[in-house]
Amino acid sequence: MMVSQSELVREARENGMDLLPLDKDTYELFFGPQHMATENFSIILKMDGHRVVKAIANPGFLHRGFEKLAEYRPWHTNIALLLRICVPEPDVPEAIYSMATEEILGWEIPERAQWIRTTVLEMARVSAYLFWIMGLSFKLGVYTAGQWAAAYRERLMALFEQLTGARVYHIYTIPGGVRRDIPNDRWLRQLKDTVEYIKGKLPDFDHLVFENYITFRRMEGIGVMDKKFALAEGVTGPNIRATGVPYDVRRADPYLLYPELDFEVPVLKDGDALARALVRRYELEQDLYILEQLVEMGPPGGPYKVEDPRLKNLPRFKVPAGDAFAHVESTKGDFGAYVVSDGKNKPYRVQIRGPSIAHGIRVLEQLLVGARIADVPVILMSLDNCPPDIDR
Amino acid sequence: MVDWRLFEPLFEFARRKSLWIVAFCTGCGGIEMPPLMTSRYDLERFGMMPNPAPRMADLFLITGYVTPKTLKRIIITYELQPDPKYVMAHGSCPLNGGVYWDAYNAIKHLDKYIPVDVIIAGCMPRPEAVMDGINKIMEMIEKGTADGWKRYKENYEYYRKNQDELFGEGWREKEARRWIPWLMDRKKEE
Amino acid sequence: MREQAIVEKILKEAPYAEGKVRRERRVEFTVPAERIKDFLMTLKENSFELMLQITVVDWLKDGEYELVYQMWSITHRTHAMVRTRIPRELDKARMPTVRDIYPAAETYERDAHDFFGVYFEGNEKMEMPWILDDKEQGLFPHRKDFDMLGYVKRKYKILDRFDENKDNYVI
Repeated sequence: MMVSQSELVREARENGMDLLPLDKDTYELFFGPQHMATENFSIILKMDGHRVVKAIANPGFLHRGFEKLAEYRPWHTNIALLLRICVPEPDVPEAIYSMATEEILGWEIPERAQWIRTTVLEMARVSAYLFWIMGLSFKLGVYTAGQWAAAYRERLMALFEQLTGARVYHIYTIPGGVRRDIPNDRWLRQLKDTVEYIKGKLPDFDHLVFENYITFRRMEGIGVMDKKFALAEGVTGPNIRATGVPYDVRRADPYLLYPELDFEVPVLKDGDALARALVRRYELEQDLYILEQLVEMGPPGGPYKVEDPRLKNLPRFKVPAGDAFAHVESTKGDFGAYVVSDGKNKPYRVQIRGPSIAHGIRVLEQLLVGARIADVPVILMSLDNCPPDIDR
Repeated sequence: MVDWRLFEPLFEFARRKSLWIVAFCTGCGGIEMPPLMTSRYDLERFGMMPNPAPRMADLFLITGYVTPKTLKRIIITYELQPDPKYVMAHGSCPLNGGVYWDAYNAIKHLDKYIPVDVIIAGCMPRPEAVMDGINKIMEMIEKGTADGWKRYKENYEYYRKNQDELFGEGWREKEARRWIPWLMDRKKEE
Repeated sequence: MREQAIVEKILKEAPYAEGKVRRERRVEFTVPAERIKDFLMTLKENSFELMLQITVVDWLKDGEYELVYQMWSITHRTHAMVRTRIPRELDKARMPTVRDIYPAAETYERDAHDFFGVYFEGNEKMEMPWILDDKEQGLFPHRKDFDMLGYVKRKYKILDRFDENKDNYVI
């Protein structure tokens, strides 16, 4: 039984299934959410042949309303909720929420807690960068490097598990310090070994991905943005450093132990996908260097959280009225939290500023125009778009 | 005429050994998929691999919470899969809401909308738990008890009613046409 | 003090505003809602390059929305909060858009419109679908008078997990 082409088209049209040609030569293409490159994020593309004419970002597949839920839960319970905003590095939302709460309370956290928090944040950064290398190399077709990156990340996951008891969602940083102490000295030695091990493996990544001719040709000159455009669009993190602006929250608005640590802020000028990838590669090296310094410094003695009678009864824990803004540098950019309290045992309003809301919507829509369909995943990956922190 | 039902045990054995997964990260459990697929936990030794196209996939992993906006895509993707197809829900959130039990934008009981064969509890489930769930679904396939796709056909009215109650009638057509006015470079009168 | 100098310079150019230093690297301004465009123009000229977020806080008792524009200056390494208040009735909660000064504000304004119903005049993408899908008319989930439990019970048809008599629950 043969069915002619025109008959199929007629049948499809009757059932409302045809593609609806938009104009003369263009058609509509849904990119995601069921796609390997987008993590539950959708882009609607208007295509002319294999060139993108217009792109509309469609977020919201991961929206759970954290900002509303946080108003219904006590201060400390919110930690277990808000960390789900940034899945690759869940320590960042914990840290900003705790820092903002401490600023309202006027607490100064002990030195040991500061050391532990800095270490955890840097470990989260390294694991997020390894995760990103894995994603990028899978999108470029360099599968070996992806397998390696995932395997090395597992070493950090094991360390997290010993420290906090969980692999992915640690629920570790709380207002006033951290939830528990470093298990033993063996953990510190393991951290040192892991850092050395990953550092020794960086040349392998360079050979396969970052010095590879194919990678260069694949990423050079696509998704270019200049300094002025990036500043106007509020882009932060490695993406703005790839356009020549040396903005790093760890240097510009120092928190925890960062003023005492020695590290460089890598800056490149080109602003294309390759520059963004290379900036991230240099940052991974710097983060490992910071971890080395921290291990060498060693955790200072003393308590690991604030000693306060209010911390004995957490459901009735109250925070005086006030508001505060705190932000840290995540691998995606400037991650901020604005917390308002009205003196009750629950926050009045929590607003999380994910960095991807700046570079994942408007910037992406404008960078995609004129790109080929094969470059769309690469641009998306080079921006390091993280949908959950757009949706919250 | 051969009665193919005679060979059904052989088919079930073969299906068990080559489960392909739809690559659809529906929630935060997606972050545990790369470790599972790569060298540490290495799911490929069970004959499993992620596949971009739902037309070639057998197993649908619902990795984490489901929002109504994602559920529409999940239903469409699920209906695109050929029979037999199996669904494994990942974590407490599709089971009963989990930490989002009072959230205004998270589905509480996924099995009201599509049939689920195996649910792994926990938030988030460790890779070992996921592997245990996969082992379980393989056993169920061999015994023939993983019959979610049959239940979906038999009780289609029930599932369709729940879906329509949540999204409103005609949501599929509405969803397909939603973005056209914004792509047309014209105002919304169209 | 560096922050004091910044605040004084900006207040000199914009006398309608009030400002103060919160702490090191944090300053704060309060402006009337109708002068927000002029004030943000002044801030941009004083090298506050990045707009980080527009936060809406719903003060139910005062009957007002507080809009907080979070700004960051790379040159001065200072964070500025620009606060302004507008009525919280849906037909009166209107603001002029600032997307011609900071293009990034377009996304943040869509966000504020979706969750709070603040209408930003002049933003073409105000009616474009954003995060929430199939919204009920006039229902803005982040407003303080939004009954979340009632909505969840109604929408997802679950009754067994809630205690009817307990309105203030502690988890």
